[in-house]
Amino acid sequence: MLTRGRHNERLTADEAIDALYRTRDSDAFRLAYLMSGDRAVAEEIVQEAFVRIWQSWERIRDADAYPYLRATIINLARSVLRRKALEIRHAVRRREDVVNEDVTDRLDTVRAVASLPPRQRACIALRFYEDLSESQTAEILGITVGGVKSQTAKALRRLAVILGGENHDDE
Amino acid sequence: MTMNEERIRRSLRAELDTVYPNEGLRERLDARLRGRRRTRPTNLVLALATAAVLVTVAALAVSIKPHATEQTPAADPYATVPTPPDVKIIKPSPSLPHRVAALSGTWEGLWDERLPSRLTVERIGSSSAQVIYAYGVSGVIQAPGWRRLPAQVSPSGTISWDNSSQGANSSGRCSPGATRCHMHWTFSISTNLASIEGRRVVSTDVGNYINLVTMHRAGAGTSAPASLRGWIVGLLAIVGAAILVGAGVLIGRRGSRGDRGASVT
Repeated sequence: MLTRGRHNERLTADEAIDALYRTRDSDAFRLAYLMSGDRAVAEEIVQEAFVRIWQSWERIRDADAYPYLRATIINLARSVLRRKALEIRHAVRRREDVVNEDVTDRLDTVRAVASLPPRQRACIALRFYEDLSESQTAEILGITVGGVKSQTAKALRRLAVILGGENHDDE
Repeated sequence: MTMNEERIRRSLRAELDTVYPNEGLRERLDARLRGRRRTRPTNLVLALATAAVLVTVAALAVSIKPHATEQTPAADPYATVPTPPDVKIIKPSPSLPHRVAALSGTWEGLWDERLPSRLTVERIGSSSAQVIYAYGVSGVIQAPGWRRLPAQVSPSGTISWDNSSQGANSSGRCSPGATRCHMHWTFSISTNLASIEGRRVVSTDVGNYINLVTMHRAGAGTSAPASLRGWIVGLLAIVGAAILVGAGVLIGRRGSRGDRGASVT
């Protein structure tokens, strides 16, 4: 719960966003980056997610805001990936090349995850980066626990192939 | 499976720990929030709800007005105007000017907002016409009457006659004490052809005066017909419903936890 410590008062939307950003900006960005595989798209997703929390703060003010932020990031990223917004990717990729290419070159596992289909990507991000249970992952993605297991297993098989240097397509 | 789950977990953490958002991200987020503060959805919802209420009130106003007039026992103002038994309206020639041909038919109106009268243009040509002029009862005129008369027509859509065509006994209808009385009637069709503006100029040896009338086609009335009111009410109801649905969708979108399917641009 985000409250003003001493007086335990409820925060305004602006105060809540400020507190959430200061404590969770890196977590949010890394999750968005893992989902999108693209720094600039990840920044857009994080911005949009924070804006939506700010807009909905009157309703969610008593809840822990990070799960909401996490679910929003996942769903926004899946939406972006589904739409295959090529124009956005092309535009932001140029900026990404300038920004941090030395870092991204070292991110083998992250890049391997970025090659997965959106739902598999989300399963890996939530299960192995956010450490959520299968049922929590299923709730966020709106699928069954069985679906989470199936998608996770496929993703792991595929990651093993990619990171092992082979070329395999089991989709 | 060549890589277990724990290895994936450790690799992801190790790699992502080296990734940080750019310094400018916070500034861009603040800029976006500043823009959103100017158009908070709460304000938008309130505006839409207010608009919906206003439209609903307007629809009620439009629908109640004719209902109220129906409850008032207002008699037909033209009930006292006699109708000749042999009225026959001949369709004007297609070669006539549009504004002249439009004069054909039956018109009704109240002289000086009081005396009911009816003008029937039975036959009309490019320069002459045959009309039936009838009037009812009001004020000092307690005897209704009607006459079938020849009239002159101008191409601009004006029809006129004077009392020389009514016979010798017309002077008695002028002012008391007058020994000489000349009356001239003129009716000009309006721009939209929906009404005619009439004027009667009375010249006597004791004074002159003018009477005015606006006549509409018989049966048309001066207010919107019930069917038109129905359309207006229906349209307003649809607009109001659309606004309410829009407000509902907006509220629903604000309330959809997790914002599934949202787009990032």
